Amino acid sequence: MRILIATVHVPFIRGGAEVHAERLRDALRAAGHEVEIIAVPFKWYPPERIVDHMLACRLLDVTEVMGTPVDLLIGLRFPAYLIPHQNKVLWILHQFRTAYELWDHQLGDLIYSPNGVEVRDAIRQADRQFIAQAKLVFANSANVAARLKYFCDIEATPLYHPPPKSEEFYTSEAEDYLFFPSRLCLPKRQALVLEALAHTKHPVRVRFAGAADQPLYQNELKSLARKLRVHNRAEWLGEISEPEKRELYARTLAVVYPPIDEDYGYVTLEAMLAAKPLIVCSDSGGPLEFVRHEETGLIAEPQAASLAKAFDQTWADRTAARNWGEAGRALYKEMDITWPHVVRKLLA
Amino acid sequence: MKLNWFSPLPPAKTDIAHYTTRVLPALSKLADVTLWTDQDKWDTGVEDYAAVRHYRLDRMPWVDLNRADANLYQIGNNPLFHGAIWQVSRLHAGVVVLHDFRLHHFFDGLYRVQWRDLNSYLAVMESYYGEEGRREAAESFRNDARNIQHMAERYPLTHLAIENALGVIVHTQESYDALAPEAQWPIVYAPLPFAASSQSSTKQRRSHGPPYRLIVFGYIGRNRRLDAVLKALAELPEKDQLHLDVYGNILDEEKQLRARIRSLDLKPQVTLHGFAPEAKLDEALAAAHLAINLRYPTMGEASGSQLRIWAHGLPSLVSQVGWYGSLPRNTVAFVRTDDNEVPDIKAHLRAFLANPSSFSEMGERGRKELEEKHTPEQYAKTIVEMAREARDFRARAASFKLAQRAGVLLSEWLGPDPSPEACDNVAREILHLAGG
Amino acid sequence: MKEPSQIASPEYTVDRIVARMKEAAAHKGQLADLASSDLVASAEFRPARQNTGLLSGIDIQPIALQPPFQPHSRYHVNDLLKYHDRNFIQNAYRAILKRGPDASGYSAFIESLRSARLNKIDILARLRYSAEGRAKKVEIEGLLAPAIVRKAYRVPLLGYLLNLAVAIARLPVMIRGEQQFEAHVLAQQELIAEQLNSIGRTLGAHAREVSQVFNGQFESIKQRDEHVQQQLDLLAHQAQAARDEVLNLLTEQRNNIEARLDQLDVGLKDEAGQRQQELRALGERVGEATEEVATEFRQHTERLSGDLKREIDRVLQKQQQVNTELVLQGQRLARLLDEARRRLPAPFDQEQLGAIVSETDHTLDAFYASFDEQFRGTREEIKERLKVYLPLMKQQGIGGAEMPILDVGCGRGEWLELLKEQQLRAIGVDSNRVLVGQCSERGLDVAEDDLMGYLRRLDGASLGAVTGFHIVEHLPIETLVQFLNETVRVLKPGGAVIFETPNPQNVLVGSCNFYFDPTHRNPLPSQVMRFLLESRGFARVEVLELNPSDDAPVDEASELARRFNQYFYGPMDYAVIGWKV
Repeated sequence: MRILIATVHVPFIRGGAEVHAERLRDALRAAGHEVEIIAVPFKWYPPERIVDHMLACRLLDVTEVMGTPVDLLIGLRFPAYLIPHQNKVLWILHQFRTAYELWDHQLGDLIYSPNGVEVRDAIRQADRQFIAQAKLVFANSANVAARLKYFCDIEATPLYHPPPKSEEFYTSEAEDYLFFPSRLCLPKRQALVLEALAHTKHPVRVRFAGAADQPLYQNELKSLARKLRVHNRAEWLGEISEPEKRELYARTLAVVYPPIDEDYGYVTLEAMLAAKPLIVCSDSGGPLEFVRHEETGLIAEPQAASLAKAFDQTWADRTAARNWGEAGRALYKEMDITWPHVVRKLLA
Repeated sequence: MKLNWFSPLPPAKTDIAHYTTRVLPALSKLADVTLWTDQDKWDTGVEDYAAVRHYRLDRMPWVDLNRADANLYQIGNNPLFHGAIWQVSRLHAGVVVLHDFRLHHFFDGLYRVQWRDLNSYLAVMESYYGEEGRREAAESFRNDARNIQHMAERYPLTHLAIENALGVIVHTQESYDALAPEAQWPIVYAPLPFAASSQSSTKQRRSHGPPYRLIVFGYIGRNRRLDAVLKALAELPEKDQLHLDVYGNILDEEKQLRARIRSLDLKPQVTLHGFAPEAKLDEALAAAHLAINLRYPTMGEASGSQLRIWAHGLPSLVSQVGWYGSLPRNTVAFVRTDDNEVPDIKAHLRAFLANPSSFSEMGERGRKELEEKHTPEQYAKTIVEMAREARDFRARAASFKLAQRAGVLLSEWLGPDPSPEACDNVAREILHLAGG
Repeated sequence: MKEPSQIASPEYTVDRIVARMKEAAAHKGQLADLASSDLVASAEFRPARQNTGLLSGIDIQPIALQPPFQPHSRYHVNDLLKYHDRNFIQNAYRAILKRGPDASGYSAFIESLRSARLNKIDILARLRYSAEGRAKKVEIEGLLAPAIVRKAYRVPLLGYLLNLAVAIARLPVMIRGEQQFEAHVLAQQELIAEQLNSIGRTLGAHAREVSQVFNGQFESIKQRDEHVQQQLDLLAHQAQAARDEVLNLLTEQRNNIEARLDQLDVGLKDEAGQRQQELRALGERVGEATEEVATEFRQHTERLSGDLKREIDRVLQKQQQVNTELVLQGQRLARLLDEARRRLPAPFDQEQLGAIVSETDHTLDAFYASFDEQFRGTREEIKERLKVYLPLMKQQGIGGAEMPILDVGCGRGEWLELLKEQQLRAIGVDSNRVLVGQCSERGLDVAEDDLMGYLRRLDGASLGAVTGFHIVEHLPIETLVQFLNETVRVLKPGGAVIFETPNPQNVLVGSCNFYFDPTHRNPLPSQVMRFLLESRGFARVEVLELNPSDDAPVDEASELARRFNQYFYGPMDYAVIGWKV
């Protein structure tokens, strides 16, 4: 098949979304298709420029090239997913967030423009109109699907994809530590984990991997650890290499991952790949789609005491921990979170 | 429903401030209203019904305008009261309430007098009225001799006030008939609200015999036809049975007016009272037998003063033009314009003297008209419905603007008159973007 | 057709969109893109004018060269002829056709008028006798006749002859008309110039105002900027220092602290508790002790002050007795001397006489000493009053070792004491033995001597200053002059004199208070003293009025009260000051 992946590109900026599109392209090519990425340049200010870009996308014709039809268009991001095509499948990474969940939010900017609400309504109206016209609508995660339902009343199926280098993860004997890999920042709640450590009955240790978004925040966490008198049991590894990361996954007793309302989160999947149980919170969003309480890990309340109980439970019962880890790996297999699966779904 | 309401507020000397205080009690029962003003002072009475926010144009909190369901802009002819409101309305689309249809005075005041910006004024005139509009504007700018009245008649500039509107509310059938066929915005004719009950407390103190009191009130400019009234009165043999009270600031040539009263030998029959506070005016209306509420030429406005006359159950003479001309025949007495004006006034005054009671019945019918069609409750309901309509229209308004931008782009290579075929494909996509 | 209050919704169709596009295409989008935030700063969006008073005054009125036009129902032709050029045509239209000119008519007429093809009468006639003009029937007095004449002019041959004939006949009138026009033009030019000047002045004033405000603002902004920059530098510096310090401290201390924290923790808690108890006990003890000390101190102080009071009373009593004793002694001595004089058979020899006479001089010493006490005020009061002269004494090395101050008639020595306190060298001389004794007791440098004798014995140019408080009024006028001569002699160049004396300009002083002291000779008006000093060769002589009356002046604003207060409650003393060149 001749397939086009439609996404947007802010010139000179390269991030996760660009990598994601390339991995999808590679997977489709591996399945034997002829694939290209078309990236629409994007600028979101002044706000009416967004509406202009929407129209620009609508005016593109990628249905065929010199008489040979393009068989499938896969739309990933707004407004590129508005490009018309007779056989269009959407796999939405996310919508234009400041028109939705970030509208009246500290991260929102659209609301500060004089004509903000008008442009917001134009975006919502177009999404409602054109997303629904696609043949199939997938979302990157259940969370994104839920927002589509809430704001636009559009049904979308979550379609998961594997983290990078998923085939290189392995497992090993559990050692005496829990592993928490994430950037150090507020939404990931490292502080909550330190507070939980202060409540544990067992000498639970946690190894934190990842750089801080702000250097000051790292100092803050360290002094908090001292204040709570758990500094001997909290280890700060900073930024680590990919092989190091996989080794730390392999040797850990369990993976701690209690963020607030995460979209998707590769950590969950990586833990499952390393056959390790997950300790998450009941408000962690994305991870909850994969963790089954006392089957593949533990779901705690987002309070120190509750989280501490989960730590102690894991620390005390190594056998159970190992079993949950294995069950997690089995679940991952069962859910078939692989690129071939993604390709099959998108081409269905 | 959350509404932002931009209006002059009392003590600003404009009937639109009073209008807001009349609508507010009923409206605040249906919606969460915030009043926005650039005045430094306002009567705190309005705060019983709505929060008041002071704004400055150079630091508008757009975020709060974006959070509302709709913003309502009161537009009338006084640039002092409505200049800032209009500028906000240009940047954040909302519902425009037109208190006047002909707005040339307003824009003339803004561009020519306040900003001294000839170029923008000419650009605006050319954009709406072509080469001729530009030329006449240039002449009127250079030479005050050209009558502003003429400009207002010929070039009302109404669209400059409503171009960015998400909805339009007008107070006269005439304005509605002029704008509705364009079908650019949701539009509604809402009869100007007036609480009949607000005047019923004033006791009627009318005497039952001559001299009968005639009353003229409001800003007294040439358009109030006082010259014609005086002439008619002077020519009336029975003038001794009548007395004319004039309340309100005399806008031009007061000396000449007084001289004219002297030369017509009407000093015993006419009293110029000047500006009177509200309460005093209500007393005078309660004591009057006939109101003379002529207005010609008209800016197409509905008249708060006519409603006030009705609220007092007063019969009235009105010009048979514009909104006045559309009033039910049995609630007022019409005066034709030009050569018929003086004879008509005379005829009505004679008829009044012959049969005062038939005129007081006319006043009662007026009061009934007021109670049926002009209630603040009905008006508030219409406002809320319009706000809802406007909110839903927002995405389409954005696409109309997109169409304008696209039109400009097309004109860059297709010239100023692209064929419909050239536009068609783009237009279709624009239409679909907002769910058409 | 909708009923009132029913909302009509707009059409949303391809046609409407196309219409919008075409409309915008036609206007080049002048009014499109309304809500663009790019436009916020543009001409469409203007911040409300702030009435700062800075620019609000600039209000340039248009120059009106021609009188405003008032429409009437009838005109005299001159009403319209007085306008020129465009205004003429405008007003002619408005007067005759009751409307503004249409474009074609306007430009045709203006062209004809300017090229002199038609004159104003022609244009008025054409308008008035056009079909439209006839319908409007506006009366214009004095138009018909000239219009017919004008028409005749334009008949070829007749026109030429007429033109010629009339031109010759009308030459004087034409010249007058030409002159009138010239005058008119001149007047207009003047008017224009005046307008321009006034505009220029207004603009100039505003420009100055603006530039002043700007400069002021600029200055203050610059200063603030510098200040902020300094603050920022300081802050950055401090922050850097603080960070370094904290980091060093942290790295150094962390290991130690962490290792010791655990053991310290428990120990500290116990120790802190114990320390707290100790501190509390200590605090209580200190409180008690303080109380004791305070009580003792209070009692002691009371005892002491009681003793002191008793002692003072005793001394006062004693002094009273001594005073009385002194007076009695004086009287006794006087009587004794009288008696002695009467009884002495032989006259005294010169020496005896001198001794007796000088003893006679001292008979009043005791009286004088207590007189001072009674009438001049306490020692402290006097010293306070005299402080006013100290600045004079501190000039040009006066009071140094080389330039001592001599106080003649030093009395109780208040001035000498004051000078001594200021580390100024001063000598006193007085003939009152009692007072000289008192001064010596106070350790002041005084001599008992007759002041003229004393002065005469001094070397010339040996003193920095000579002062005398309430002395000069005791001297006969010849003595005073001699005294001043001696003073000039003994002063060094740059030296000063100060003489204080009752001020007879105060009527009460001159007529009454002066005579409280029976040894006073003549009241000396300040003018006299000034004259005396200047005549003796003193320079920069000045008079300093002192000690206004303590009694309440008449509290009234009238001229009478002012004068009265001046004469009765004015300064009671004055000082005359002079310098030796």
